[in-house]
Amino acid sequence: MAKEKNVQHEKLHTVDENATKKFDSLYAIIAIVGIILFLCIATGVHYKNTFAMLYPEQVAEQYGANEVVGKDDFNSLKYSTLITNQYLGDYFRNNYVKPVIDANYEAKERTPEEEGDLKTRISEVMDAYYAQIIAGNTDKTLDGVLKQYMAEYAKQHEAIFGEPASSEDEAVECFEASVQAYSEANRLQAEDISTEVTKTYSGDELEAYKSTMDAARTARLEKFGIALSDISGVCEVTYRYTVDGQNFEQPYTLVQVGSQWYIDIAA
Amino acid sequence: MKKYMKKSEVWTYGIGLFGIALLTGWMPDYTYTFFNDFAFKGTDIDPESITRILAYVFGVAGFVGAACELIIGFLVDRTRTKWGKIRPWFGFGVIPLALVSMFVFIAPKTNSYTAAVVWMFVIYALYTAFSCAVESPSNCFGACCTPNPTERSDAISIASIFRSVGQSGGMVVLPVVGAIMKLALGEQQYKTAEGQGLDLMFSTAVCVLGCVLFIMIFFVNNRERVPYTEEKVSLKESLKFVFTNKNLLMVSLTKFTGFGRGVYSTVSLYIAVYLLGSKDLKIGLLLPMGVGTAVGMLVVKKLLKMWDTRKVYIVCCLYGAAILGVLYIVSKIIGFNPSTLMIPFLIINFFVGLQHGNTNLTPNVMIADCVDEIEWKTGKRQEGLCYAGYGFFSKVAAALTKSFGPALVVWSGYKVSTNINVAYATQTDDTLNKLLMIYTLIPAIFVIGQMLPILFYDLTGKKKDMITKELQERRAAELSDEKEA
Repeated sequence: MAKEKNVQHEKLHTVDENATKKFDSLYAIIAIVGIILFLCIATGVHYKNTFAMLYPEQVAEQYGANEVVGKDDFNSLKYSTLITNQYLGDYFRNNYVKPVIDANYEAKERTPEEEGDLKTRISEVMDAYYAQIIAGNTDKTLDGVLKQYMAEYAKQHEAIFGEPASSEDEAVECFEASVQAYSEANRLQAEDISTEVTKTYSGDELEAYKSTMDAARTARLEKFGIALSDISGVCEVTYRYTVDGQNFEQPYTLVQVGSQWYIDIAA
Repeated sequence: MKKYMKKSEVWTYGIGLFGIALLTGWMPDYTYTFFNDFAFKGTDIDPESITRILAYVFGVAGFVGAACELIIGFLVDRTRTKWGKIRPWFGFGVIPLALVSMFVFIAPKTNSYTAAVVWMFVIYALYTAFSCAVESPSNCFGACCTPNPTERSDAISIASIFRSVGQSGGMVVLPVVGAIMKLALGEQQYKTAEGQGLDLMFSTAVCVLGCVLFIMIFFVNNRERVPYTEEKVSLKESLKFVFTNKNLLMVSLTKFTGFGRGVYSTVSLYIAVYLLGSKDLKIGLLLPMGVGTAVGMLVVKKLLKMWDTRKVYIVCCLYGAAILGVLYIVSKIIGFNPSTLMIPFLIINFFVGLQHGNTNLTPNVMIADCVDEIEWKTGKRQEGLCYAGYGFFSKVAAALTKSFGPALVVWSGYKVSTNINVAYATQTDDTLNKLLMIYTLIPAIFVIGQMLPILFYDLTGKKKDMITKELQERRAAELSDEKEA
């Protein structure tokens, strides 16, 4: 190994370990506090400006976009009082899917292609059935529609697969596909969509609104996890859209629970 | 040899690297998701046009990152402050990094495609530049935390382990933030917020806070203890010192010759689906590999106390290639039957992960030794540019892996399903065999490839000891001359 005997350092500099100690600690505290403040402000402001559920007109717009324009009554429920205390998917599974599924049954082994073919067949049947039962439905909670759909699904699964339905996920997938197929086939080509808060209830009007609720309606709200005392605001929003040059309006009533707004479907 | 570092410094160095990795490990993938799916949702901008432009946004950022590696490496070597060469970079650079990182996830409300595109290019390039300004100097801090090579090796080992863990930290932050949001907002309402990308924004805020907090701990507690020269070196001279140093070049080349090691990640999902039986088992593949990597780094740390870096690297590469070969052979013997293959595959996968410990750790120790060698030869310390050179090769290798992986999937003959009810089509045995090769044999070849340059690395044993001793003597002589003067 050749030794580089003639290489000399230029003047060497060492860092004095204590020279910046006080400054470093003070700087670190200020930096951390400053960043925490910045993050709180930035995320808080952005959340307030963005989160749709804080604005009744945005909630109404999403509800209308699904229910009226998209002909998707199921997903519109995501913006309604139905889901204040649960996930829509869980609501659907617990109340409508699980009762018709035989979770303990072990399905036959099939190749992905065989499985795919059978799924395609049941999808075609159920898409048509969904279209039939949804068209004239007026129940905003879809209770009747969901019960009928799942009962028919169980029956068709037995007929097509030759065995009982045993997978919740497959049942949910089939239903979601039916909802999407109906939406795509019946969606409106809407333009000039807008929403407007037409009335915000005052304190007295809010109390009056609550007092007009009968026992049946109060019970429905409680089933959704909402006590009358939880409702801190009510407003009316008009959803406007144009189809083929013709103007349409759809009024909605929204209730405020906490800081979030929901379409009142308990009426 | 004398020990210079306080015990706490070894840990706070690791904590600092953990904090940086927490943010830099999170940002690239989730930025892509945010830009593609959430940033301009609900505006008049066509989502497909955003998807098309994203490849260019990340491509440009890649070039910015590669250029910044070298520029910042050069600037670090020219930095002279009372905090040292490297500490001011991460100590003060973390503040603009924190601000820019947060703004990446707060998209402007605009219906203009041009404004959206300009914003994405600028904000992500800025993030790349600032993250380089913090991450690169932090990675080379190990070379100047102590003049004692054994102590330095320990510190770099522990810090590297913390960094590896930090890179996966974001995967823990997101579900925790999600759980808190569900409690605060409600389950369905959380889904609405998730649909607007708000969970990503809050998770980024947590990662940013973690990054700043841990870097401040690192900044306050750690010190640079290797003396450096006052004279600033020109860019031409710096590049000459660094890129003509044989040992440093060999370490950097390992990144290039081993670029195909990472192609296994391209087919992880297909391995989970076809060989293990379910796409949900992809996490089952990554978890043993990740745990194996962390354990591997602890094993390498022990090995470095017994053997020199060259021997450790070569032995670990040979082990890595062998275990990948074993995984392939065992899979072929058992056959592509998920019910029988799953358990042995996952167990061997853990042992495959062990070899990543070597790749994550040993080169960092070697580069620190190369910094000493360059100082011994030229009288100049060039930590910044030495690590920058390695970082540059890493980025080139990552870009090559990103295009090589998908090309191999095409080579395998993989057939995409055309039936909407079938997520993953049945594949031929030949395709499954090739997918298995992409996961095992092809990375094994590149593991051998990455080993080859190290056969020419000679900074070990007596040579290394001699360099350490002479540097110590020179520094002591120079410092006592200064005191007399």
